[in-house]
Amino acid sequence: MSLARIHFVVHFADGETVVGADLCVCPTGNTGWRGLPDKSIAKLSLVNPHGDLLTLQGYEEYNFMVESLQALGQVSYMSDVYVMGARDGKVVVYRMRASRKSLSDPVQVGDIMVKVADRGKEYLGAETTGWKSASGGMEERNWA
Amino acid sequence: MPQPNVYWFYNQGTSDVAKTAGPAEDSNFKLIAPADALVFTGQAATDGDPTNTRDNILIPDSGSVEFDKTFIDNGTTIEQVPLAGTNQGKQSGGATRYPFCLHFDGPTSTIPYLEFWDDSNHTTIASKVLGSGTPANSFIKGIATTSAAPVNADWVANNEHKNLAGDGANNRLELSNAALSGPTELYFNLAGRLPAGAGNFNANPVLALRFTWS
Repeated sequence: MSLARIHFVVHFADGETVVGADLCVCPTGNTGWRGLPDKSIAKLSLVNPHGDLLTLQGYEEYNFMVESLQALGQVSYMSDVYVMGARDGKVVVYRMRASRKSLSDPVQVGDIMVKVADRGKEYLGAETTGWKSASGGMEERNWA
Repeated sequence: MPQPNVYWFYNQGTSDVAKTAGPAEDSNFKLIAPADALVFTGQAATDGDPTNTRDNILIPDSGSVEFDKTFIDNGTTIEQVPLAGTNQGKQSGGATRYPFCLHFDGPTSTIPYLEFWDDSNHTTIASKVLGSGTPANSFIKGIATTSAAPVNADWVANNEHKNLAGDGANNRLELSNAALSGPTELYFNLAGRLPAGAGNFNANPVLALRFTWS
């Protein structure tokens, strides 16, 4: 069995593939998302700790981000990883648990929760930045 | 971009001024270090007392009463945060904008939030101090002051605050109006209010920051 890993894989329309940094190796490091080439994305995959891929395809825009929690007086930890696809004014949000919070927490590492939200309200009722377009380029639009 | 580093500060003085930008301390703001704790307590505790110094507070017959003073317990001494709370405490709180500061050294993907939870699992709000599962009944009150100071010196009575418990939209602090585009200072104020009928309790809830990056 291979080591656990969590990262994104972007397949560009021109055939190039970019693999993001493994968050299991460096949970606070540069994921590589913001530095992706400015060109059209064909599909976005999230690799889960089992090595399987969740793939989003056919969206107008894509996003990826990591959620961290830091209690006062403690170090931060990676809580969840998100991949999102936007189309027709809606965002499909896939949230994957990246760390187990307690023995009693029914949500396990690698579990995925999905929801659909209006654009601009995809994360706790507010917008996210870092969107990249299927037609190329980073979208920093204010959805509101 | 990597995860932004976050630095927690408290204002040790009574000058309600912004922190000098950046991760370093200045003449007012001192770093809250790992293992430090936030403390609401009674008025006999004073700045510089030994660690674990606490004082009682009387449960009111009606209404609620604000904990007199706020400290950071650094494991050696307790250091007062005089500007924390409202004018109903027994220090220099009120319409104060700069008692607590968070410095982010890089951008975020979303608005950062402050939340209170039972423990560092960040999954439950069952303790009495957090409203026994009903966030609106939380004893912990907060207000984000990054953009402006509270309007009223009693910002709880003026209903400018959030009752802090869990991650519900009405029960967490939204520390900015948008995702952070780069290094930023964020500010907030906190108060603890003990309601009539609270009874005895012993709880150590966790103040947690939720933020995103890519």
